[in-house]
Amino acid sequence: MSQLDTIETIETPEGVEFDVYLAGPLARILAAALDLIIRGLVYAVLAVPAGILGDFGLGLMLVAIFVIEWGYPIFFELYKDGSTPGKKVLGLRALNADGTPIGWKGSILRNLLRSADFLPFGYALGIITMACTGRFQRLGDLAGGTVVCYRRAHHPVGQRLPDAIPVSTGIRLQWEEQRAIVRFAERSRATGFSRNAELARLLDDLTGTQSATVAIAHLQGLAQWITKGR
Amino acid sequence: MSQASFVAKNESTWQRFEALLEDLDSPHPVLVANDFPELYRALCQHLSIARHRGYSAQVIDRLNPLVERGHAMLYGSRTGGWHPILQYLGGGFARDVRRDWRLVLAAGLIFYGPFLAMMLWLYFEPQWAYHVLGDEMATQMEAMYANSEATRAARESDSNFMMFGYYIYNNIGIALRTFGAGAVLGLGSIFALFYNGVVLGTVSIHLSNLGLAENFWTFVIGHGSFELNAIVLAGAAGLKLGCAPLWPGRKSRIRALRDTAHDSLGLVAGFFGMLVIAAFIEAFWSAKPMPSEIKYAVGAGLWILVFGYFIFAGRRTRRVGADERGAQGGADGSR
Repeated sequence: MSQLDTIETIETPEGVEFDVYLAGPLARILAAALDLIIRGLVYAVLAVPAGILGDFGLGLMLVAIFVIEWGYPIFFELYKDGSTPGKKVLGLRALNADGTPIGWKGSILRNLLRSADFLPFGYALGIITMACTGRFQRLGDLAGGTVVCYRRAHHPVGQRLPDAIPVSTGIRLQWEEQRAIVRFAERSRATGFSRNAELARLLDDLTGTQSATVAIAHLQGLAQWITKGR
Repeated sequence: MSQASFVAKNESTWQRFEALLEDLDSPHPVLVANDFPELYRALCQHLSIARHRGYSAQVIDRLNPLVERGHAMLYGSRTGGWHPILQYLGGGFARDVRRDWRLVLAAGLIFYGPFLAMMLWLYFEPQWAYHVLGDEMATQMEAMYANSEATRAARESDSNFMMFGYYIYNNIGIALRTFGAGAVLGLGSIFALFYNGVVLGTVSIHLSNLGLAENFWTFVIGHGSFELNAIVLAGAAGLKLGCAPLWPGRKSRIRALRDTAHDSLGLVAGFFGMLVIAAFIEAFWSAKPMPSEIKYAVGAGLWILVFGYFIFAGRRTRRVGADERGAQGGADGSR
């Protein structure tokens, strides 16, 4: 069943599926821009001692620029768990398409093929390829067998349930409905009141009331009962 | 079983697994991790149960990262050290070049063809050199190789190093881009090979026409064997990438691209190394004032060396025990 989201499910050899939240072009462009700025700052800093050393310094600078331009992304992807500083700020991470951490072959290939993704200018080909493949892969990703994803779930849902008196219901709920109610309760503390009210009112035949506050409390109690009392 | 009792029952297992993960991630692991795979499988099972029973996101978001990290820890690749690289450069690189000899030949033709064609054409029509190169580059080249005191005197060591840095930055960058741009149906590589062939051929005949042949050829013959052929190999590797999706055989086109790209990393390492050598030669040897005969001799020797390497290196097959050979078949999978 294909869904309209950017979540890719990878099945491991143990039969567990875990979700990888794929990152689209915009986040990656921003991360790349940040990386460019960072590299520029590094060059500016290095230029000072290099200028003092005359021709020798210039030679060092050229070698340094070469090493940093080509090696910066590879180094960070291999040793910093797939995230360059720019990616880290955006919460992104590069990994192999099968879910394993990125290896040296994948990292080198995806970065060397930037020359192709850059054509004809401004990473046009890369962006087009990202839009056309199912997993937001540019040419470098296709050749290297890598994808770029977000580090954690897109929306953190790990909040504790709000304290409420467990309320049972005589209605038999499907497990998807139970999940929905529990998720609602988990997020209800971070969501604004009017949104909570809007959602709670949808379930007036379950809660048996039109009053928003009562309905919200009822649903929170229901969530408590679902998770604790089953 | 309710969610709460599920959590209570397995909490200790999850905590132990998390502690193991933390420890294995640290620079000096201390804990004994013999039961790590077993614990990982248990956690996979717990996650599946939690999902199946629809437990709250709290539990799933607790287990999910543990499973992910466990997966990464168990299946993350560990790479070997320098030894395989040195061994590869000793013979494997030559073998890879021979294996793809058609692509290398094609790249060679696309590069040396225009090179020699320009030399031939401009020998008879020298004035076209200015049209091809542009006035700026033409005068720049003439100044570099002119019979002036500036070129006769030895380059100082500082500026030698500066030129070394420049060659590393410029030449290797060009080669890597030639390779990478080949992914687009090989077009980038073809263009780069053709363009460089035309320019270099034009420069060489132009300077010869002006009577600066000796200055030019004594300079370039030293590193030319490494640099020019590295460009050809970079183009060949780029062509390899470009051709992969066009003739994928039994694989999907994307799969063919990916597998070919992984195969071509050896060539990349090879031409990278060649260009580093070329940069050393060009920076520290080529400009040294020396009798022309010596320079030509050394240059010719290097050309023979390079071609000899690619023709002969890596041909000796590894000695395999007779019984191994019978059981496993040849190294390339033949029986």
